[in-house]
Amino acid sequence: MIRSIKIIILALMVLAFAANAFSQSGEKPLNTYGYFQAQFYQSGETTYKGSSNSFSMQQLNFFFQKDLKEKWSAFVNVEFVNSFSSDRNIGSINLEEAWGRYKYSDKFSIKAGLIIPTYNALNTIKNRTPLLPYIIRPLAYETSFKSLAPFDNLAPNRAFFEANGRLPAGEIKIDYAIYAGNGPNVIQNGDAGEGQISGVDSTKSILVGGRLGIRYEGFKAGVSGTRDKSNKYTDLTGNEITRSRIGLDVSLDINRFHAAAEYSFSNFDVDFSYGPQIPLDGIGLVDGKVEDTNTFYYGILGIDVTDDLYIYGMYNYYQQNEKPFWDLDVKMPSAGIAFSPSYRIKLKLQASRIKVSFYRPFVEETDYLEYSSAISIFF
Amino acid sequence: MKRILLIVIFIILPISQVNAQVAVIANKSVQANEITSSELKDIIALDKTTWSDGSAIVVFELKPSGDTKTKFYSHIGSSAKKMKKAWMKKMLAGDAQAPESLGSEDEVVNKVASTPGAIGYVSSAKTGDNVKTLATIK
Repeated sequence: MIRSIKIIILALMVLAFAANAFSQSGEKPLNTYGYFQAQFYQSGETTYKGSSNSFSMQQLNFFFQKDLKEKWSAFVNVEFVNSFSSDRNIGSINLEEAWGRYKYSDKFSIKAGLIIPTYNALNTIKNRTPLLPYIIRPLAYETSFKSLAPFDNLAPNRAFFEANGRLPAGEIKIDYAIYAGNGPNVIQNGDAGEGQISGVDSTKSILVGGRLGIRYEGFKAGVSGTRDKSNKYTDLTGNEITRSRIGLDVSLDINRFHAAAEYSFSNFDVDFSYGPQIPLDGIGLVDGKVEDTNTFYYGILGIDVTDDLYIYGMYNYYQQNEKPFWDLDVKMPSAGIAFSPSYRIKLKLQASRIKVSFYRPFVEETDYLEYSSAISIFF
Repeated sequence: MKRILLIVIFIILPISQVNAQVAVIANKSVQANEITSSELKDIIALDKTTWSDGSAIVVFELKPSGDTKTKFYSHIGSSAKKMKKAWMKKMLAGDAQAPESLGSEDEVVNKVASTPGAIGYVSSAKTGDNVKTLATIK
């Protein structure tokens, strides 16, 4: 494991140093750039008055971009998460994106490979910390809170193919994206089982989805949707259960004011005509009615006090209703400041209250206060 | 006499700078003959990357700050800093690379003249027969 990590790092360094060599051969150069975000935060649970201070190199991303020939390009995004160290066995390295693109025009381009698909406004840029004023991102996109609830049900993470473009209609522009991939295998995590190849995500269904949006001056809005099957549940005949997602996003920029909101809803279509459902998380056979829905929305109001200073208030709400197993919600009001002395540097402060309420199978409420500071650098 | 001359120079110099016009220039291969401020904003923000005939648009940016740059960005309703953020967003999405920044207006004129599909901006006094002017910003 450590040996393969070292090989990956060595390969990244070779790629970076090879950039000049490519440019000298008359080809378009290999563009290498990236960003990182380090954060320091104090987190405390209000009930027990306990608190702790934490530091982490939250993210370090390297990008490799190359124009292969006219209209063709390739892009690779490698991410180091949570102070990655093979010595200390902490953090992880993830290949987030690797795709080739054919761009016929602004109206039509097509990507194939490992893609983060377009869904609502933030999905494709959720990890681009230099672009975002937040430290704790809107919950549907906050990977560090995955242990609280299955936020990744709310937006698709992977697709194999995407066609997208922008159609001008006078002053209004229409954005579209359609994509396909395989349904995620939620059981296969890490080592391959018998007869499976590690890293090959095999399921019985495909994911299809898309987004349609409009923009007019400072106003943007869009509707997104996906449909796939998940092996979180199977029926007695082994069929995976259909999952649907729908999303809405809207944002408005007027002078120095900024407002944005997103809504996302996912639903597992549990059909009892096949008989009782068998959840694969070990809880057992269920004869009663099963529902599994996830609802999320957030809203943000912000103001550019100066060209360099942005202040915002944000509210997040998430509900997971997985009858008869789980019923919980998460509420997160938040406020913060982002200061950019240069477009490459962003200094961030954020205060958040995170209230997690369980209603089933037991009633419990946990309340956290988190004060975070971070620096985000684009290089 | 010298004092009067100096005063006249100090008065005229700023006025001439304030009134300097900015020209949006393009390579002669570009078919368009004029451009609106909203089209120009889309091009500089890399939202529009091809001309109407399908050929690629190549943007050249003027590196030094000054009246020309300020006037240009004011014309398209933006600022140099906002545009750098827009370019960073494009880079991080793998959509495009930031335009090449050139150190002087003469360099911008030469690069635009020699690069098919190119567009840039300089003060009007710098334009010549080797490029075409798509817009003049007063």
